[in-house]
Amino acid sequence: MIVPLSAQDRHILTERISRLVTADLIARMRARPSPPHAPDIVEVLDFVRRNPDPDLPRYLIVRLADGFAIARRAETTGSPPQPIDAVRHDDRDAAECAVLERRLRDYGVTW
Amino acid sequence: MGDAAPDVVVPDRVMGYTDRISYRPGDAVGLHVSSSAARWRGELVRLHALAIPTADVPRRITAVDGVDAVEARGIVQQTAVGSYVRVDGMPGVGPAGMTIALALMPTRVGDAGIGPQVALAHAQDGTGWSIGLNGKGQVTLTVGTRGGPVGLSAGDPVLAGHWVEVIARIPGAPGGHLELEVASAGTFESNRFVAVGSTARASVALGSAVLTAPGPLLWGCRALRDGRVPELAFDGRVENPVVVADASATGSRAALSAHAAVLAAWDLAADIGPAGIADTRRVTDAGPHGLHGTVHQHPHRLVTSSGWRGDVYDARFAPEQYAAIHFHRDDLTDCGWVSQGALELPSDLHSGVYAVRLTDDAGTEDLVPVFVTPPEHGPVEPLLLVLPTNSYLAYANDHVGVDSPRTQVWSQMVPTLDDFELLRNARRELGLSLYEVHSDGSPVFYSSWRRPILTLRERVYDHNAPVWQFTGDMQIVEWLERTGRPYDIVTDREVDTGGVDLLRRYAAVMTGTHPEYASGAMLAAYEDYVADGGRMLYLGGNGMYWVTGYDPNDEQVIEIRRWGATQAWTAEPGEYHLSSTGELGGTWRFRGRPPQKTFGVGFVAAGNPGASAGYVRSEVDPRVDWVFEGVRTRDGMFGERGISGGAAGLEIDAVNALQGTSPDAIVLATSVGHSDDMLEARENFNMTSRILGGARNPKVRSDLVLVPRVGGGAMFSTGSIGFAGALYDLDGDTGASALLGNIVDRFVSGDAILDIPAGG
Repeated sequence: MIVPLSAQDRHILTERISRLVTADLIARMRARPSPPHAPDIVEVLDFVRRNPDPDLPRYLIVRLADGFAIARRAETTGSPPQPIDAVRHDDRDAAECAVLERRLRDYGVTW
Repeated sequence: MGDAAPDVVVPDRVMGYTDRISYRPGDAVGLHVSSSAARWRGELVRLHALAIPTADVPRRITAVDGVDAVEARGIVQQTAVGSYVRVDGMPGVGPAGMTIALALMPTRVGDAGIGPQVALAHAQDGTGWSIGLNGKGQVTLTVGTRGGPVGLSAGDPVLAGHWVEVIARIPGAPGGHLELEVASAGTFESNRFVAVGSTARASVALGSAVLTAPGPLLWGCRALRDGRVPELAFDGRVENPVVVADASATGSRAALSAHAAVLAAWDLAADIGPAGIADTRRVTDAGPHGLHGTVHQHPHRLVTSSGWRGDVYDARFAPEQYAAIHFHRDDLTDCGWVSQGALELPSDLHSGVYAVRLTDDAGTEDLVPVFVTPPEHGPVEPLLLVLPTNSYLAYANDHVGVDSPRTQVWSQMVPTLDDFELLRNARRELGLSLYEVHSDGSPVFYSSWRRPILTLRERVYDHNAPVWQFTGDMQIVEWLERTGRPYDIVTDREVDTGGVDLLRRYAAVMTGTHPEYASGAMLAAYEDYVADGGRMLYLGGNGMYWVTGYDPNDEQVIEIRRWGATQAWTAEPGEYHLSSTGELGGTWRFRGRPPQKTFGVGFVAAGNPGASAGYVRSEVDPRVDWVFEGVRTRDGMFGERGISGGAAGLEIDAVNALQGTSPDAIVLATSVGHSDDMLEARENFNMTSRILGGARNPKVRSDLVLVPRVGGGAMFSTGSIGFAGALYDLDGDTGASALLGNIVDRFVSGDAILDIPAGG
């Protein structure tokens, strides 16, 4: 499902982002999660990170005793972020990749 | 592993702050500590190095002998957030009744999360009167009578950012009418939207008399819990309230101010003088009874009022157009925590970076920095390090990494919170940074030392940036100590007050990594120093950038106004002048003091660590060969690697003759190889640009410059925040360290800055 976006972001999503996201792009992101990234990865990351749909979750990474969790930023400023599930990632990079994949799915992008 | 998502638990820990930015030997360091444990303990330690886990830099601190520790029972201290004005001695409603008039500009309207707001009140426990907004945003008048509370609302909900004129009349006896009139006000320029001229009225007969409130009259809230915590706080502006002891009084606020029965006629324009707000702690009653108000937690002053016409930008030329004060429910310049003790510094304590190491029975720890300057008189070390405490204040407790999506776009990282960052995120009551906006969207102008500043802690930014500000400057301290170069320290505050006389005690003066916030007195001191034989090292990037003022009435508080530069927010039109000094804010570039004039370089670009680069020597000038002695290079480069990426990184500066770089400046080296994540600063290109990034933009670079000055003076500038990160021996590449050592040693030696080439 395509979530509500501005006309401009809907165009950007369908005409650029969705076409850039491929299994190869995801594999390259997983192989090297830290910048500098290739231009296609940068464009995809910039799109989802700027949170074009403010109603969608804004994700954070939380380092817990048993690993790195993906969490949702609280709606109330200053409240603790809420982990989205019990999955723990071994390192920050793995969590970073998982956040990207989750954000893309939020926008209905598949690969 | 199941799908359950257990709640994140924000850890509790001891924390504290000291009563001043800096101290001299022999001073007492007042401690304000909060702990939920039974007891806490504070001891003085010296900081030689802070741990940087990402680079395997170990913490190195030592105990300080001869200083008695402080121990006390734990108190969970309460922080009183929100600004207000308090007026004591206000009479109640008399037999002739009362007329109250003021202009209001609410800035947060109809927010179900905050409910009613009170802008002006003389009320307590069901007595007195108050004027404000109800939860829907209508202007309200509420009184407390023997028969219970009576309230009125008038008109439609007001618009945020729109002025209204409010007149309230309270009868002096039962049977009289309680009246409220709300009229659209303000000019085209002072209102956020085009004004819709309308007046609404409401009235009701009172069955019993209004009870006199025993407490103070308050602006910005209805009451003070525990005498200091605002209740039903107001977000927005109040303009010149007038109170007349006669419910039949009529006319404008100016006419009411001249009424024979006037009780108080506060005039916020009367507080504006040649140096801005004459006393930020006070509002002046121009009426006959002198019911002046005391101002708490620094609401915005020198802001436009309803009559601002857009033709004056300096309140000193039209104070009547700036007769307003802007309250925020999240203003904070003094936590107000109880002090339970002080550490007595030995009279022979050497200048340096110290900390109060707080521990408690629960096993938690806090390191609260204590900056100890040299004695006012007597011998000093040859080198002085100026810690940029104004920058520490500007960034104090910032939450932009969590709150702003653009931060992760810029940093190319999703924010990561560990237990310390969870704590920092949760403790929002400790006040905002100058990079944030208040809850009503207006900028944060003021920052104060009188609160725990969690961005001055060792573990801050561990996962989101390698080092920044204080932790970045500690890299310089670590280098000075590791390489055996004696030094003293002072803070921005001492340079502001001590001026060039302070600097002249030293053979050389060096800055921290990001001295972005300079006062005019500081810049004058630096220029006078190097113009008269002094030698200075600017070891930062994006330095000497924002016009910064100290509140003369409260030197722990600084103020800025942002406009026209690379900035987190933009001040409202007409509000570019600092209330604490009156001077024009913004950047020094637009005040005729671009940093290039004194420091040789000025801000050109910012980027994440991955966008950093190393340096290549840019010109072969035998007069400065000494700079490069022992500087090992790899393929002609040095400083390619460091704790923050390359030595040229994070925020970088370059020479610019049009901005004042001296023709005598020698560009020693220049950075090469930035990526497109190093982005040119917006004020440096006048039109839009599609070539912002360093991979294709030659203007995106850091220049290492040496500027000889007459009389043997000199300025050496790294033009990079990241340079200090390349001083640590990560991988055997100490090129930056060797180069800096050469500069420091030459500068303090007194030898000529430029060698005379053989045969020259």
